[in-house]
Amino acid sequence: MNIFHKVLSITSVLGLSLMLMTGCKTEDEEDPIETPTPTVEKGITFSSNGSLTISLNHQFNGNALQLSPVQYVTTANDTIKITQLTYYITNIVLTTKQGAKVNLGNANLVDFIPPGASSFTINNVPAGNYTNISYLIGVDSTRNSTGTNQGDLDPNNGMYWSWNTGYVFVRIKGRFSSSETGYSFDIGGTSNIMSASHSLMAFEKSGTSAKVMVDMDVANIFNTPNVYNLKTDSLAIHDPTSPAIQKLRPNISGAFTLQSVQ
Amino acid sequence: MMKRFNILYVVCILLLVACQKDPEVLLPVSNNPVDSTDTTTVYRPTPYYVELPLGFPEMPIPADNPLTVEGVALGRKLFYDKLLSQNQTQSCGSCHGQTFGFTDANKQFSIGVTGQIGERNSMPIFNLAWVEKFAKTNHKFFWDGGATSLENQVLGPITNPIEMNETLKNVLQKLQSHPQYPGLFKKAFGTDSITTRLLMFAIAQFERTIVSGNTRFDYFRMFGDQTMLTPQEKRGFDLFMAEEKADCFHCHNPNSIFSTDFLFHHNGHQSSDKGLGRITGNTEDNGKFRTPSLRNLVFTAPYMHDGRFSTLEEVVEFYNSGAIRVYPADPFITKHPNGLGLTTEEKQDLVAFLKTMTDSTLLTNPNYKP
Repeated sequence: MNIFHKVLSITSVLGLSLMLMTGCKTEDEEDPIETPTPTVEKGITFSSNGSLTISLNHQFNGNALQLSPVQYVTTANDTIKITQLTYYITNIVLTTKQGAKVNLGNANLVDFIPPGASSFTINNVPAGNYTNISYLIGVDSTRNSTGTNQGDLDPNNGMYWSWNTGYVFVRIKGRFSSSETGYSFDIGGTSNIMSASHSLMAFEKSGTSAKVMVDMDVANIFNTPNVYNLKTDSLAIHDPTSPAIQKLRPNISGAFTLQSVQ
Repeated sequence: MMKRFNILYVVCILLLVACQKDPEVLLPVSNNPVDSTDTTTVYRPTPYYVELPLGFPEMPIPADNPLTVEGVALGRKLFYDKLLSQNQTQSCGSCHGQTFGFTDANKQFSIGVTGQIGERNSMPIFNLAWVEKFAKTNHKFFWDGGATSLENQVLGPITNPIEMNETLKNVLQKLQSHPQYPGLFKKAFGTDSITTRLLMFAIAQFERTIVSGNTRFDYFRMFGDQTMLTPQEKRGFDLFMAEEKADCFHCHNPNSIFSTDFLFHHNGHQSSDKGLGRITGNTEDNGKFRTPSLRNLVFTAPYMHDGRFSTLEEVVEFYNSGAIRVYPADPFITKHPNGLGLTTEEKQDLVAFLKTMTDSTLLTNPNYKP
């Protein structure tokens, strides 16, 4: 019998003894746990491992977004239609009041076009009181440097550049003006990563699940802070080096606002 | 002993389970690791060892994609399978033929499945396993460095509209419904559920096994065997190494098994192709292309990123007198403002030397055949 087996054997016996000693617990035999006077904490409080749902509510100027043929008018006075809106939300980071950060390491593809998902849930979020949520709009540099990732990051999902390894972080396309001219934005490139951050302090939610409702307003992408003019700006962005990306990046980050926590 | 331990373990679990009120929770016990002793279903691929040429360093292998006999065999089948293209007319091997050092039959540009003409010369495939280790930046593969690993390189030609023009969705669907592939993936990776990742893994595995060495130059350079080169070839080598003569060695490092510095340079060509600049967006990188290997040049004509030269004599003449000697050309080029000034005989010597890096077994090695 080698040491390894010996240790295993001893551990098993100990474990067995421990179980026999503990016996079968029933509810009323629960060890007394300290129950603090219930104070309502601001933010999201998971008493034990929780599940966090992010629900994206797509809009245009505050109204529910609708795909082509519904038309919208931008600040640059372009009449636009939208045929696709797909993007990655990754690396959700929850921050506690004390400043500790928990990176959930997620990578989720949000697709406005049915049957695409506009919400996703992350389980096993560690217990804690969280006062801020932030996330990347796009894919972190590590995972953006290879296509061998799986799930929502499988290149098979069509949000991937095989000629220049990396993901399309945000894809938005459609047509504009009476001539129905197409526009097609594929925004990506490790250095072009975008992010959003929302304080949770205005909400009080405790338990083991929370649903964070985020509004994503496409009007912002065309209007704020940079006015994107389809008559003069690029109609096609298919390359991480495209200068037009810099005009859209702050607009995309700003398109995400926290609406409520449920 | 293990048996006794297992029995104890099972007893512990039974005691635990016994406490549960809901009888349904007993069901998962059958999935407990203790019960998974059925060795017939355990996935155990056979390690694949590549026979390395003399003097080659150990082959770096990514930890998540070790070479296996089953994986390499699958990758080889995929490499030569036209199913990967949109209309089933082209495989990887169509433009990377073994008899041409894994390039496209002396063509300047390859023709894609829809008849579209390519924009860059098909690159040879050999000794690629070392590129990821020695290339210092994330720009590892393709003429412009657009792929960050051999695995990532796989998807480029399959999905490029001017090459195989197929979507990954279609490729995976064709493979999944194929009579053989699900079983072959199961053997290679332990699952018959075919994914992009496993497709990339398999083809990259096969490509890593393609190595080429054991040339006359290797015996001369690495083992000092002077009899391996003729006097003319030796003169050519001296020119290759001479800063004030052909001055090739800065980029085509003769001590590298790949005869390259694994970098990107503007070699003084005149071309609108941005090369590395297309990938980085940095105008300083415009016109830069990867330094290619000089091995097996005899088989891989034509030359340069756009296959503009069909003979080695033309290539040598380009560096001798044809290259532009001003920015954005690399300082290695512009430091010869008046050209290299090689004589006719010297140019012949240099070409003779370049041909000593030839390994004809690459063309016949049965391990690489369809």
